[in-house]
Amino acid sequence: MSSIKNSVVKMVQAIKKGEITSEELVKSYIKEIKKKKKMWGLGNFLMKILQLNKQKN
Amino acid sequence: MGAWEFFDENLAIEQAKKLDLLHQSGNHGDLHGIPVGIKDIFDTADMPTADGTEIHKKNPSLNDCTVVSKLKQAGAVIMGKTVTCELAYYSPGKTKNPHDLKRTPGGSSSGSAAAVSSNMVPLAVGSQTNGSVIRPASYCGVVGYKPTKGLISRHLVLQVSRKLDQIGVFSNSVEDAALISEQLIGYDKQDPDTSLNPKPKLLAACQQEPPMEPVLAYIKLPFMDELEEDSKEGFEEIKDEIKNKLNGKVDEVELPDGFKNIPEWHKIIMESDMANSFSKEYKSSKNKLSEKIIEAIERGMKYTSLEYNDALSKIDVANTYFKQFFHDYDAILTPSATGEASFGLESTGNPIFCTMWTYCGMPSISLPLLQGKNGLPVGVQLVSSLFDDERLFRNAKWLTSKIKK
Repeated sequence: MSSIKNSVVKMVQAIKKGEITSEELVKSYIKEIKKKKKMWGLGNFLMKILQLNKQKN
Repeated sequence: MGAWEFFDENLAIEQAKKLDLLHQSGNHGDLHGIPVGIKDIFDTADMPTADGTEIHKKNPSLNDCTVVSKLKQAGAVIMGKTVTCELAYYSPGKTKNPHDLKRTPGGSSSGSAAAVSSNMVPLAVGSQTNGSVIRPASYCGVVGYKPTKGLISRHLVLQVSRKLDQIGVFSNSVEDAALISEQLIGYDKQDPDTSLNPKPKLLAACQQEPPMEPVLAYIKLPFMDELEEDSKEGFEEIKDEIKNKLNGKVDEVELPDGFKNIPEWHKIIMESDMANSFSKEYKSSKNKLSEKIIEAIERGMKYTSLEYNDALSKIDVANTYFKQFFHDYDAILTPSATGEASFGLESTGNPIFCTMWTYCGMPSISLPLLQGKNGLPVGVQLVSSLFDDERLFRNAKWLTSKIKK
């Protein structure tokens, strides 16, 4: 299930019913954090290159 | 977008595994297994707390603050510490706005708002001394709720101003804000300003229809000219929709003349209290503080006790007025911020549309209902009278479910 799109109320219910474990839920958010961190790192890198190019010109 | 000050995935997984074991024994809290982000001014026994300054970085927390302790009791997984402005004031941390990385996420609860907005956590905790929950919620397009002052304990949370500091939460829906807040609200003998009032039933309030279509007050605030043109248009549309399609009522109301002084009174209290709260940092590590905070502390040192007491005494006067006001109105409808998140990362934006309600300690909620001219979120703020948080949630749910985004 795509847990992270659900409301918290629904997520808690899913854990209580045993449809998902807390570990699975936490890991899906960790994956999201890592994805965003990677994108952020890339974004910063690109911005620095743009700035350097501007300075050169 | 730099939302985290401290994040250790192993620590989070460890907590989750323990909760899964508890699940097998049938023990569940209301937030069982739910990841929550914590603003880095809340003490956590197993994670460092830096308060947004290198001065405090070497001071790891020894105990959990009441908020974190209550979250753990409810079964939440403390995912990490989110970025705050320096000492929860105005100098920004590294966080950027998830909707546009060149814009501010707002502050001082910058990381908490950005983390919820970008689905890194479904819930996060922040604090507000002026506009630090409502403004970032508006800029990042999430729900931000600041309860009535005194409902949530500030024990072992960085103190900026005892008179003004209030805890708040971020979520993706009104119900989720209600659920986490219900876990946090309650008297705490460690924070003498917490209230003994009965705990509001916020989640139940979300499920109730208002007994009649709400009567809202759109206050012509003295600083209304700071509202950007596209947000003005957005509010006109919302008012029209409430009046013409939802059978609600929106009255335009003017406040007594004296209310225009509230931002100045708020400033006197906040800066005087900062001079007191941060006197140690000012004396021993001034070179490590930003210009902005030094200026605020130095202004705070200069106010007289007469000015301070006068500013404080007006809180009761304003609340006496609003107590009567809310006999006629269900909520105040007002902008959460002056418009979309401002461009650049040097400032966290203007908190003016939050100042009055923080000063009075009234409950407020920012709802991501509008979009500005650049397609960025703009929050609509509802405000209720002191300790009428249930009515605030009932009206917030009504508005979000009826209004066309």
